[in-house]
Amino acid sequence: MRPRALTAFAALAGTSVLVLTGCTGGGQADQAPAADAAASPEYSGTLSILTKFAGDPTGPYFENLAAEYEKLHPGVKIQLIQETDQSIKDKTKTLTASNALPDIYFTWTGNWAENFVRGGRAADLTGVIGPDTDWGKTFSPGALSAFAYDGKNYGIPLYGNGKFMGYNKAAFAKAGVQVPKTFEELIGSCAALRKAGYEPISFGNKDGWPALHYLQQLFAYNVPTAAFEADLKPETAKLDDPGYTKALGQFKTLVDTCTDTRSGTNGVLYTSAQEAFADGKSAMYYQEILEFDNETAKGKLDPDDFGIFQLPAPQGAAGDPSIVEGSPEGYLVNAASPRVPLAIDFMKFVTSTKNAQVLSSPPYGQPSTVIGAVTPETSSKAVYEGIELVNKAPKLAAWLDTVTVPEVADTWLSGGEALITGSRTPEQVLDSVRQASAAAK
Amino acid sequence: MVSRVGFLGVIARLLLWSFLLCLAVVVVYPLLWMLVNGFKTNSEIFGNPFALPSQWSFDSYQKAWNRGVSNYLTTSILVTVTSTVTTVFFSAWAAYGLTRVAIPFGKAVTGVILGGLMLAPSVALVPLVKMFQSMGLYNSFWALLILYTAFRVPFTTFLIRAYMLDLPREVDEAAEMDGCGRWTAFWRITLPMCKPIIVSTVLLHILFAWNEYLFAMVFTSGAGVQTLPVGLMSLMSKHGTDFPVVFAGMTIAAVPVVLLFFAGQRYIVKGLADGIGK
Repeated sequence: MRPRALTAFAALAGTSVLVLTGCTGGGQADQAPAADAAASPEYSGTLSILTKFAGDPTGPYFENLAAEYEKLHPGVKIQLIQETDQSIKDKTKTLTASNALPDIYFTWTGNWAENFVRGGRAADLTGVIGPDTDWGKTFSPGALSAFAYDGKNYGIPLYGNGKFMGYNKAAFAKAGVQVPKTFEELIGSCAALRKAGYEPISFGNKDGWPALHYLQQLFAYNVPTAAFEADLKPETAKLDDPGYTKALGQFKTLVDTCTDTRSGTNGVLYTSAQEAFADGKSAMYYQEILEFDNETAKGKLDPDDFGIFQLPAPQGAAGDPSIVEGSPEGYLVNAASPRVPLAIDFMKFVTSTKNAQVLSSPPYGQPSTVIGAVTPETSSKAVYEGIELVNKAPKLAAWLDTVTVPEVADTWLSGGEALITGSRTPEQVLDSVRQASAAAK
Repeated sequence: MVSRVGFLGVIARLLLWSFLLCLAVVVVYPLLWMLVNGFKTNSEIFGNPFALPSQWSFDSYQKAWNRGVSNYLTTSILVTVTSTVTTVFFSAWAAYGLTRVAIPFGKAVTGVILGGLMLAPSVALVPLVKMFQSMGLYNSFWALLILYTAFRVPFTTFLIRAYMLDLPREVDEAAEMDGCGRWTAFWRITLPMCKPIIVSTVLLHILFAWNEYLFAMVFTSGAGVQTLPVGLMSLMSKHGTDFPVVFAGMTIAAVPVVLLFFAGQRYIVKGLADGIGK
């Protein structure tokens, strides 16, 4: 009996420790007094910032700014928590759950930022960064509105991003192909490019999200905008527009006709596709502005051979061909922070024209959302061209995996993969998304 | 006497040797591939993943070292060494107390310590972050030292206690007869007799602390206090990773452990056989 009693006790002890520790965590955000964002800052204390700029080449950006700001205001100490694209999600979740969010923290647009707004953890900055304010007017309107919820502005957009088809001009010349004007022309050009010895489009979908980037742009082209926007929210989603199956079919055609990996594309790394293009093995590669400078880095593609165009819209598509896929990334101010005015003052310093230009130029190469920061002098030609197209676009379509709720995003993700392998038809994929969306209501 | 190996014997040996050779290739080849890739360029890695580099240059190794790997390595070594010492000694003391000293509610104490084995680290993350922040230990070397020790004491105590239970009591009694106090008995009698299990626990702890990711990721940030597993991740970026530098960083990270293995091979194999296999 004794050993059994001991085991039972050990189990009991372990469980009680679990329960006790579990109970102390989580919970609601501390009830903070509504911060007055417009108050003048008091230059003292420690300001903590969670960034997504760890590692090379972006790491030193905030470090330099922090040092400069501390020099300007000797009473202020800046504490930087720098994370990478991979680690920031877990870090933010843990800090949020333990009520330990720093004064300023990184955010994506869409559902990710909305969660902070809904949870009362993001300070309402409408009074200082609204579209009619002095500070607000310095940003591109599209970028600013990407962080607006229910007519209130919460986020400070730092840099913009958009998805474009990068192409190798030498390959196009060799194959005698022009920049395609329609989606049909794009598909039609693939045979000539293949004949000229190139993989027409290199595409790696091992992580699932690269397919979502194609799909989101094609949805924006094929589905009328009002229906498309309603479908992103499970409460209003119908997902019955015929544009969806058309777009899914177009994507399948592109994979089958223009990639060499075809139904095996799910096994190819994003980076492998990127390198195939940078090495001149493939003629096109669908990429974000943030990748442009990497393609033309030393020893890779000649900057003069590198061109970009927006993924061409299919003829007669029912959606809006002027929508560009992309979204800015930015920062939120912690609503519970005792130093909201100081946090705003620091972010104004970060987004001053001078510092925004530094961010947009090498080695950082992150196209700032501040108007006039990206110029042909400070940025590479392709980055300048891309960000101009993004800034001019009347509307941006944010990444499908961040703009909708996670359950629906996951279903789109597996649907994209199934479409590539051919295990599901467009109708079946749309059906599964409809079910996921209904379940997420 | 001349021993004659029959035809079947030769075949058996041949099979055995080829099996061992295959095993060696399976283990050694990925390590060599990692080492060699540190000398290549990004396009060589993707273009000809299995070819030798066109140029043997230490550039990537130098870059990795300067991009923070030197700091990550120092932190990793420091955290591993200190947490190994604290964990093993606390556990050995606890095991001694639990097996050799009559403490009131001894069974209950054993239960509580071993109950710690059931606590999943990820469940405790949130309260721990709160606690460490209020104590001012968040984002410091001490956070990792305390966490690694606290979370490994139950398992290590469990191993050492099991070993101590089997040690003959007579030796302790003889020591007591000779006028040996508890302190001396622990240091001079019991601990030396526990050498095999101590070696095993030291090894297990080193492997744990060297590779631990979750705590290191959540509780630290910045090159000053981060360990290798987290630091190497920051060498990768979503847009355009310099893979030769990552491979070089991984090689540098692997070297200390490989060296440790070669240096202590004899003890390691013996320790594992005597300790855990007991």
